[in-house]
Amino acid sequence: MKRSTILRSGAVAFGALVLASAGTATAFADATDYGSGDVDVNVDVTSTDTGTLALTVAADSTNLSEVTSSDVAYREFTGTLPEVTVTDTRSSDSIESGAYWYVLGSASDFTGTTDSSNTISSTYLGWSPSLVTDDGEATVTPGDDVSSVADDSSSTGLQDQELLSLTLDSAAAVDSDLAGVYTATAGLDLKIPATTTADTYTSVITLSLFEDIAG
Amino acid sequence: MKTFLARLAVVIFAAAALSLSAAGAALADTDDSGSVTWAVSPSDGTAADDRTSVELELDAGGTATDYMIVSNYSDAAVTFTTYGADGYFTDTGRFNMLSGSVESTDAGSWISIQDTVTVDAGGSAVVPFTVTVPDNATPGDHLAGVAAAITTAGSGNVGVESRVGFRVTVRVTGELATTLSSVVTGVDYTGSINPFETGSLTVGYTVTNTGNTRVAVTPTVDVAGVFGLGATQAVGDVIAELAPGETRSGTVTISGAIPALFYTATLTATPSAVADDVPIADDAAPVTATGAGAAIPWSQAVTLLIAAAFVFGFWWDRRRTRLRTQRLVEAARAEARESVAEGKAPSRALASAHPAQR
Repeated sequence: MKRSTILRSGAVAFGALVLASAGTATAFADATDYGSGDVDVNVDVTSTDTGTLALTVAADSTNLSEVTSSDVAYREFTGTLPEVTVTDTRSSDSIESGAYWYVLGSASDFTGTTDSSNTISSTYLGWSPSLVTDDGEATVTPGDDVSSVADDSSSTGLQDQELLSLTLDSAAAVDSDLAGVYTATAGLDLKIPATTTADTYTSVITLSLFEDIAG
Repeated sequence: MKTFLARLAVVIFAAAALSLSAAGAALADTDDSGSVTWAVSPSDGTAADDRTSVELELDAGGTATDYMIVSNYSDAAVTFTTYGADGYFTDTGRFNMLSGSVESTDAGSWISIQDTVTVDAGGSAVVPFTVTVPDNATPGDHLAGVAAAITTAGSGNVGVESRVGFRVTVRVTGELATTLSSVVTGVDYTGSINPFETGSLTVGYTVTNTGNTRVAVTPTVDVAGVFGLGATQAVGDVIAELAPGETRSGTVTISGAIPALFYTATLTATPSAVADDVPIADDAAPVTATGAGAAIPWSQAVTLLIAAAFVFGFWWDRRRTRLRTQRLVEAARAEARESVAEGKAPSRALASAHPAQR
């Protein structure tokens, strides 16, 4: 083939590509996203004592047992958080507008029972929350998975993490298919360096239920 | 080392067994079904009231008493641990209070409340608590919370403390200061491979409450490229509440940003009151911070380079063809001159090219 022919067909192909690009650019031109700003509308509804927002915990402690770690530099222990249920027996019209609740989890550092100067930072403890009651409508959402700092160096571990929170406000959630009963659990995963000093370590996971008003 | 590891494993299994029996015993005392259900809310001293949190305004050295009601919906009487602790907002803006094992240093330490309360099955108990503001307390908002918890710290290798509580906000009278500081932490442009498509610009920022009041913050980001190209504004997620001393980070992403070589981002953090009845300082003013980042039009540059290469290619090809033609013409002329000089007739080939001469 002649050099000029190659050159010419190359230029034609390139031109076609450029035109195609321009074409798709228009096709995919989307609305500019200016971030989201929430506007809260407040309506005061007089509350009458017709129910309550309660917390139920299935058991009061859990245990981590060793599993085979895929990485010889680390040892891994897993367990399951006891089931946590939030029950809202209030009627939707008695709940203050904009009210929403959430359950947070924070773990203390693990300390040795033989020698209390032995510690394992709570950053090595991760969890993966999941819903036990799920209406498939995302009325409530489980919190994000949290990794051990051994797997994700930017992880702060189990500190102020959400186990369960409302997507809707409390009043709308009560009227959903879940009818005010929301249960969650979480897999616990402690991944620590294999060089950790031997001891019996204990930690306390604090689960907190709070209700707040938006706006 | 290996024996140490083996011992650790054994010890952990032993602890598991130990905590299981301990938990069984503890639960037998409280509830046969093994679960505890309870609710906590502010109270007027006799029953639950309309409040979802307690807000107090006190002078330094002042005191106030308020009430918490604990309702037990379990099948048996339960003893709850009750305490007050410092409150704060998490990175996602949720209110939380320090765990029971952590010592409070601010408003949490001002709350005195009984250590435990035993509530009968199906019953409720009103628990009074007193907030005593120290004489040297600084003016402004101090956050705390009170909660009723069931806790088994130390009985297994992971104890679970579960608590239900509410906020207690103490505003100490005095001069209110509502000030913010902000930082633009990053201006990152992500261009498209398609030269005709715009990219996206992500601006990261932090806002810190340097004053002494709780405050709501509206972050607004203005961006502009060189010569003001692609100037636009975006509003970040409104921070519903930021406690004194706290820092919150956020990002805004502006899609459809042109690769304007260089972007300057100006963050304006505008303070406002968290609620009508929680005023902020009169002189509260927005603060700004700036940052910058490159937005190089790589795909456009590559496209132009390729286009330029083709233009050069055509020019070069044409020049070469012209030179070769010139050379051939020159050669033919030289040959013709030579033939004339030798006195020969023009070649037959040339003559036969003109049928008219036949």
